[in-house]
Amino acid sequence: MGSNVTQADYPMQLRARYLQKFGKRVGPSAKEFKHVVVDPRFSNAAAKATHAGAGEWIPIKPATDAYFLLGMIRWMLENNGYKREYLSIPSESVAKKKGYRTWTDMTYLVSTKEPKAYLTGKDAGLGTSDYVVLVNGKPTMFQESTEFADLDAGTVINGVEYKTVFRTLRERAQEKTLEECDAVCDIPPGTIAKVAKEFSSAKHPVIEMFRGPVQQSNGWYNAQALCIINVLVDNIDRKGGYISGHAAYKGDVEAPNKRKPSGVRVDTAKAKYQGKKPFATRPWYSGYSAPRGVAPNFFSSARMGYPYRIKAYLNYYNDPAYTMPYNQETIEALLDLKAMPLTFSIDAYMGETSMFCDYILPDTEYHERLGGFKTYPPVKTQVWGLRQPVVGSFDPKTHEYKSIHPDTKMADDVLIMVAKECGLPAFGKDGGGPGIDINNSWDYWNEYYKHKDFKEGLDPNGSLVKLGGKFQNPAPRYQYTKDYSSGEYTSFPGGRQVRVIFAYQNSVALNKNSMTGKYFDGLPMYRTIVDCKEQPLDPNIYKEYPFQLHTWKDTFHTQSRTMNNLWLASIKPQNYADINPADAEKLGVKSGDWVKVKSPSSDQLDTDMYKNYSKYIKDFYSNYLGGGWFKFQVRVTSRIRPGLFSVCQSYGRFGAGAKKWYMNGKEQPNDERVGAGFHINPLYMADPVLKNIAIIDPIGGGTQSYGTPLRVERI
Amino acid sequence: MSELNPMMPEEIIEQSFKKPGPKQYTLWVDLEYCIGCHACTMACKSENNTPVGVDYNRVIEVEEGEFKDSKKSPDVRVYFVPMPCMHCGQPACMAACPVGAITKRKEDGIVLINKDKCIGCRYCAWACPYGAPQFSAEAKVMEKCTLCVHRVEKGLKPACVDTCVAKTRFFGELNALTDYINRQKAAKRASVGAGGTQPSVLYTK
Repeated sequence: MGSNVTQADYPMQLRARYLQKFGKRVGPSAKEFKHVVVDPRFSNAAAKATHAGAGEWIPIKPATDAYFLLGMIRWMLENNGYKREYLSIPSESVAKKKGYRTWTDMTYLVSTKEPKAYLTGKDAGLGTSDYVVLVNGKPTMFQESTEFADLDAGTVINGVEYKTVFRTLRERAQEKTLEECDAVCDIPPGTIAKVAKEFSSAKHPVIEMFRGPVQQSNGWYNAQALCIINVLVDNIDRKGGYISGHAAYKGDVEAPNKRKPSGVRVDTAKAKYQGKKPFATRPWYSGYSAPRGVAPNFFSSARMGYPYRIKAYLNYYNDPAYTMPYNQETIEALLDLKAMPLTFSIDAYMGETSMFCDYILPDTEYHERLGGFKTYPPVKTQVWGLRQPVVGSFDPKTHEYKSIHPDTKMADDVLIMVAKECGLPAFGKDGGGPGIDINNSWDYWNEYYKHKDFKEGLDPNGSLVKLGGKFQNPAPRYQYTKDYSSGEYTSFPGGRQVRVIFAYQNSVALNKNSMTGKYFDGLPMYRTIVDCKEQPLDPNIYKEYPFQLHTWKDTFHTQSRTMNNLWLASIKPQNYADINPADAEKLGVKSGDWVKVKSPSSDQLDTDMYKNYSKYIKDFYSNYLGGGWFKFQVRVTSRIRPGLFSVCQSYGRFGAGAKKWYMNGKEQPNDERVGAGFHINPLYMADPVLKNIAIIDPIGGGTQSYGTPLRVERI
Repeated sequence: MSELNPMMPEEIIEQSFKKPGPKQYTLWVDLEYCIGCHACTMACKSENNTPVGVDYNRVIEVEEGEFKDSKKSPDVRVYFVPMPCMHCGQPACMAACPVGAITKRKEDGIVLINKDKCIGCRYCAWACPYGAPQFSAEAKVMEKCTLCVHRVEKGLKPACVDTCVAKTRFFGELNALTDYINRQKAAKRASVGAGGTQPSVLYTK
């Protein structure tokens, strides 16, 4: 679901290879294998799933994932499509007794009164315990129960009603009928029931995702619903099940006086609202649910000086002026001296972001550096890949990196030079401890690879350098364990094996939306697109803007780092706006024709909101017509469901040598083939409340990447 | 399963190399497993260092069926079809060449263009039904897939075969491959059309 296994996966398209294994009928259950792809676009994965006639493509309408997933949950709960015994396990001791390694919170009681937290032993008057379950109707602390607990149950304690997570989930799933779900997803009636039935009766069912369900304003709940489906069929950490991957090998630089960042982040992530007013005027994201930060909010915050003004900006590895949905805010922020008075960029090219920065520090390519690469979930053993430069060389004595271009430095080296200049304690002489100098990237990584799981550092004769990483033996006996009578589990060396799996998200239920003061819900909700105040979009908007924005990526491109490779660019010299034949008929267009398109917020480009940017926009977007309209060339294809305006990323570049550019008055290498095609990001709809940022998940911080309304007209 | 493709034992390749000529080296592409990643195209460009616009190998996408009504189950199929030179039994390019620059080697059936003889008239490009011959604007001559003859002569597989992520593209001798495919009941032969030139590359789906 929203996971393009044959187009986007690493290392080495591993899941695609697993699928080949099933398809080739060599796996143990290969004959019964069915691959169902739920995606608005007929992805390469869908092409493979349907090739031999066994699989299926379900062209779901963008942003309706919650209806599909909760609809599946509803069917499974009402039709005994779940593992009752497994879900009834309340504790580790019962799990062990019954031959399971994991157990769930499905029997734990949750309050029906806000904040809807787990009932604790203290609140139930039983003693010290984080959770309380019902055993034959009697409240019991979870750790004291010796048998299965009541699954679909509830009770009243001190006048407050408590229900098990299972019952709360069932009631939530029953808020909509399956007919409503099919209709909202715009798929043939009965599809969800059919999929849920096939799924729950399969031998090894698994539903997996990547960014499709997550990068949406309901992304947090979509992901939670998807994980719950896996929990219901007891496949978490199972062989052939849903594997979250396990800890990679780790090293460390054990500097005695390391300094850590502190204070409130500009993107208001990882912090609760700390202002004086009852409600915040801008969103704040909890560290629990948005652990990586909320990049789009960085730029709108910087422009507004909320929660404070920034003094300087250092960009590395990122190209937000091109990659950010609703990128006009990013570009205006970079052009606005008050918002971002001093800007630096470490970049290998004159990228879209770098060209707006005051200082550019030429980088080696991001592959040309020291570092490492962790394992991803498809790899079931513990691994760590060592990344080493291959073009430049190291000075044998000082280990300073020498690039083939005289002005170029590895980004790590730049950062360490800055750190030394700032006098940060973990760098320079004795930075890594007495006698351990951290003067450059090599020093740092050499030290990193001497601790924890590593020993030899970057010793050229050590096994780390010789093997190019550290790898656990991938033999099946290291991947799986047969210690449990209920079936095989993955081994997860280095990870947490015995664990409780939470369907209910207590930490989310204890958090409030900073802008409304209302508690978030601990379970997934039937929602499509919501704004920062969790309000649905005005339905009238779809009358004027009936199309939906949709994006995807080619197999052979990254978003912003590969188009200037002309070999790769030549595979597909330009992109198009892909539309369905039904829409082409309505619009009266055929492949190659031009249309104009606008979003409900793209006309803001001509207002004072973007007064610096609007001076240049036609230089960057030659297809901008003014008034919020952009022109695109269409391609008519049945690979896109009706109602979509689908544009693949990586094209329509305006930096990285796509346009003419000059240094000290001298024209620099450029090639218009780099900038061929179209870029969709200015057409992302801005949040109707906040106005200057794409629509963002108020809990998880993901951007609404698909489905924002568009108006398309033939030219 | 080993990471090697279970449909293609290594013995077939060993047999193919050992078999005395005249013989026909060729490729077998199993369309069922091609994921359209274009890694073969890039490996080819890298191995042969071809300029932009000259591609000895391409992967085309063939779309079948139509999907217009979201209330009905879609009936769409997409095939990714890698297109190298077919190293034909009766090469149309060879017949069309006015200066005899194109030859088919007896010992291994590989069709090659002699760049010293080629005058860049592009007749071969017009004649070839598969778009294999490519005009190099830099060298002003025609170029095309050589089946990595420089590798094959050293007992190595072509670069596209070695790099294939989905393990769906194989190298071998025509009869050895055909025998093997015929023994595999699951593999159905597919045609790339225009069989008049006797294309040697085998497709299954």
